[in-house]
Amino acid sequence: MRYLRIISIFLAAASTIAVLVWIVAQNLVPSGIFEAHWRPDASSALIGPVVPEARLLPLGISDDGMPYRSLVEEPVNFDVRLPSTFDTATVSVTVAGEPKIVELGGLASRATWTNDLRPGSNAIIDGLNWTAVRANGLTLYERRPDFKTVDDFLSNLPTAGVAVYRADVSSLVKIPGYAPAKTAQTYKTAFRGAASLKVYLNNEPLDFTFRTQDVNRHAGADGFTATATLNGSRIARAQLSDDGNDGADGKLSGLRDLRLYTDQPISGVVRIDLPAPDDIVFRETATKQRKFVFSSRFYAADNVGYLKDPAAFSLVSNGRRLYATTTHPEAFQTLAVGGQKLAIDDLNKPFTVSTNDDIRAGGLVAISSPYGDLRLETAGLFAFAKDNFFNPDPAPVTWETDVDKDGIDYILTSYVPPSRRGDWRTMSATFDLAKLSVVSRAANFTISVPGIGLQQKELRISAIDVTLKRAPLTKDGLWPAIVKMWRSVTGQQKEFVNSLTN
Amino acid sequence: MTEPANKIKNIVGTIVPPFATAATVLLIILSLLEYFRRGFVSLFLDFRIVAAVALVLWLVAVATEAPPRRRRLALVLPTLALAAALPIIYKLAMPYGRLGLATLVAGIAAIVVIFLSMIKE
Repeated sequence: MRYLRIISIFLAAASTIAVLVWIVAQNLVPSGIFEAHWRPDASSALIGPVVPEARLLPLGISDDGMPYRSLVEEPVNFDVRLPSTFDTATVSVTVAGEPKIVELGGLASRATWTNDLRPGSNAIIDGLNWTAVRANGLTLYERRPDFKTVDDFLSNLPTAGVAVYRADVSSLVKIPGYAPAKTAQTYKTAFRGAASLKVYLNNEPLDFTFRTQDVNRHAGADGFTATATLNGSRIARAQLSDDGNDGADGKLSGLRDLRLYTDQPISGVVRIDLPAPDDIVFRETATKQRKFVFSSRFYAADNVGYLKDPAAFSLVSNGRRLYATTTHPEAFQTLAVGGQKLAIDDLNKPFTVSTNDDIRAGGLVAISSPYGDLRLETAGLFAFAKDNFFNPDPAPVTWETDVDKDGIDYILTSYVPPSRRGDWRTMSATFDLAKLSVVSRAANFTISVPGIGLQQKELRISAIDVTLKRAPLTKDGLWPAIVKMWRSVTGQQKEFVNSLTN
Repeated sequence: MTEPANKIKNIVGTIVPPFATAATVLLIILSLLEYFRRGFVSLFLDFRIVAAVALVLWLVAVATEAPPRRRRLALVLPTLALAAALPIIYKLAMPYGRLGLATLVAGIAAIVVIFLSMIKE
């Protein structure tokens, strides 16, 4: 009986150690490749759940026996939990359904809820019976075979009839007859929160001064760093610290200037990112630059506690559909959008209007608000005035694009059509995890289906597969990896660099 | 009790307690790992399985071990271990829904009841 007890103790201790070693090995992922799978009829510890649940229909079974969940509103998100540090995540989603455009995104910033969106499935491009030429990850679709190569097309970019889908050609933009302004102009259209601008410069220094105010309506510090980049390289940065009040008492700070500038003259299209929290209001914008536009969203500020007059404003846009949302009943209003009126009379509900006719007729649509306090969104650009507008990107392909009616002869895109099996298509995108926001060992991904609610379509999702990759562990790398894991376990080391900034 | 039955009881009473202790120690270590780094364990191992295994092993150990002192000791350790791990187990059980939570609470309650009845003995 004594030997039996000793053997039992030995086996029990060995089993405990074996389980612990197995857990550590699972977390270390020696091969460097880790796969996780989500299916609609089985929960996954590593992926999901897909939320918000209200945007999905209950579990269904297709004619070919595949379980699926149908998406009827967009976007939906899901977390992917990471057992250890990886370089890339390849997300594959298997879908079926009629929506024209499906995109996959990785959450890049939790502060501004910015997603790095990639093309997933595009029925408009898939339906083209045009010739296509490919090079360097780009595909050029041509109604007529005018260009033999993508480079030939980029070197001789046509001035009309060009549309892009997830391809950046802003570095090629030239505005004929443009001359830099001699004096700065101040624009008093106020906006708040995160914004992204594109600015055209022709041998002139970048110089923007934003007059900011912290309205302290949400708890937490409200500092941020503004950056300016040219062809992906940072050329200027400026920091705005919190005003010292991190409460939510609604006390307005004094006005503070945030100046973003370069000493040297620059030519090209510069991107300015203002990842500001919603408490930061940009009351005035002073610049010598004549051509600058806001990309896809513009959060018009209110004047509560600042001025007695409402923050009426006007903008122009080239977006073919405008979405307007407010969070305050005081901001219920009728927005003038071209010749149309858009009544905004409910909270947190995106009201929308198609501007296709105005855009097809004149290229731009005028937007006029009597009060302000609106979140405006479009698949296009906003500018304070027609004179400021320029188009760094040819017309984007949206779910409302009609290549014939819109006179499009060329589409340049990074889109690769998904693989197909029966009615199902599997779309994939690879994300650099260092550029995504990874918090609590989890990255967040998005499935976006623009206009799905308006189209009253369904997107069936039958599978989400994620492949995480990094270099395999070597003999020499094993001990550092265990040390790193220990430091990570004890909280001494962040798993992902980007976790520090998000 | 017949002689063969007694013999089986003694053998089981010898084999099971080390495994029950090991399962409890494992539960504590896994709970601590999870406490420090959420997802380190639960991505790969279902805590309900570990907790259920520990619970069953202890119940068998209690049922088979004869000397009252060892039976009491056998009850003190898992009760304390489960009590220490309760906040973490609770946190982890939550995503599994009310059923997972109810199973855990029922298991812990059962141990406490047996423990109290042993004290009375």
